[in-house]
Amino acid sequence: MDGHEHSGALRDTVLKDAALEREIESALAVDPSPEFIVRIRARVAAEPTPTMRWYSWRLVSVTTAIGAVAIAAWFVWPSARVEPLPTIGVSQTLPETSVVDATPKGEPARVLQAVHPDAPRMTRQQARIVPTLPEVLIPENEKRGFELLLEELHDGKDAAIVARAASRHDAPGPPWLDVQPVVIEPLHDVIVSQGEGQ
Amino acid sequence: MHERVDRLPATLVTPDEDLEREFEARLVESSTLAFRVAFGVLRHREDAEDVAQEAFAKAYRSFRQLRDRARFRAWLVRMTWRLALDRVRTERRRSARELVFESDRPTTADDSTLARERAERLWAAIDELPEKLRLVVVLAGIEGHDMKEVSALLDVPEGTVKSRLFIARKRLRERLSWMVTNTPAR
Repeated sequence: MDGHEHSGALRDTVLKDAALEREIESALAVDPSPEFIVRIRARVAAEPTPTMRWYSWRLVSVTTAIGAVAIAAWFVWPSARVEPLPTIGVSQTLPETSVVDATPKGEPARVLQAVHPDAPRMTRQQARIVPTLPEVLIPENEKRGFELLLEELHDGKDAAIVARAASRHDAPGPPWLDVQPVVIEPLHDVIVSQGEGQ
Repeated sequence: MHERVDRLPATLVTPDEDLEREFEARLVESSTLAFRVAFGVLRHREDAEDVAQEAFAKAYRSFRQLRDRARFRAWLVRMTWRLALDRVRTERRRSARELVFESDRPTTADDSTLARERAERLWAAIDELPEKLRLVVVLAGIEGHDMKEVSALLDVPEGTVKSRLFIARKRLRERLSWMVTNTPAR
């Protein structure tokens, strides 16, 4: 009995579906007017021929993309840029007017190498562009002291260095630093005395 | 030898001519499909023709990418559907819609009124469906497309079409129960 009812319900559903499909199909069974295709042809004839338009569009987009990637790489990639370092390995000869000889008398002057030995050398073209800056000579003893300071800092003795520097701050300076304060007198008295003179 | 050379230009076809010929073939076989898709949304013959015409013009502009038949038809259906929806949105004020109901049966005055009412109710129910379901119902209703054809036109799996169509028909049955029980048998 149940099976009979079920098959009846199923048949109804199928029938309903079929009827529904028929309704929709008949509602959509509308044909365009006879001149429809003619109008489309006329419309399409007015359009420019799609010959190279697609290719040119692709070419433009690909070129733009490549350009954008190149610009991005230029800004992002650090090795792509040449930093304008002053006098990198240009020459070991020093210009006469720009040398400051701070070496104590009797000691031979030395040129400190400012760049890592493995650093890339500049080309002649780059060297021509970079302006020649005056080189500074550092005395050997100061150089040694600076190196010691760096070593101490590297070894973690920075706290002791700071303490030592603080203790030196309290010590009296050299005698030529003792300058008497300048006293500024008010202008009023000067003006009055000048007026009296006239 | 000379004869062969003379005959050569007649047999050679430039790429442009080839393209034009292919487009003409697509136009002939797909114009009614585009019109009916537009009509399924607009229910106005002239509007549907305008929209289908616009879709073909767009298709022509991009025809180099759409030379494959299946791809062309799928693209055309989607483009026509979208353009028709756009037109509905922009011309909501249009109130008088032409309802065309064609039947091969002889019609009387009563019969025609009844048919008009049925069509109105049917379209009202279809309009209430979500867009995805509506498109499947319309495409399945055009030219008796089967699941495979609808799935190719929509570029979705056949199972998806089947489930969408099942849900859509269920909702339509609920909305139109009075109609399906009184449908005259053909």
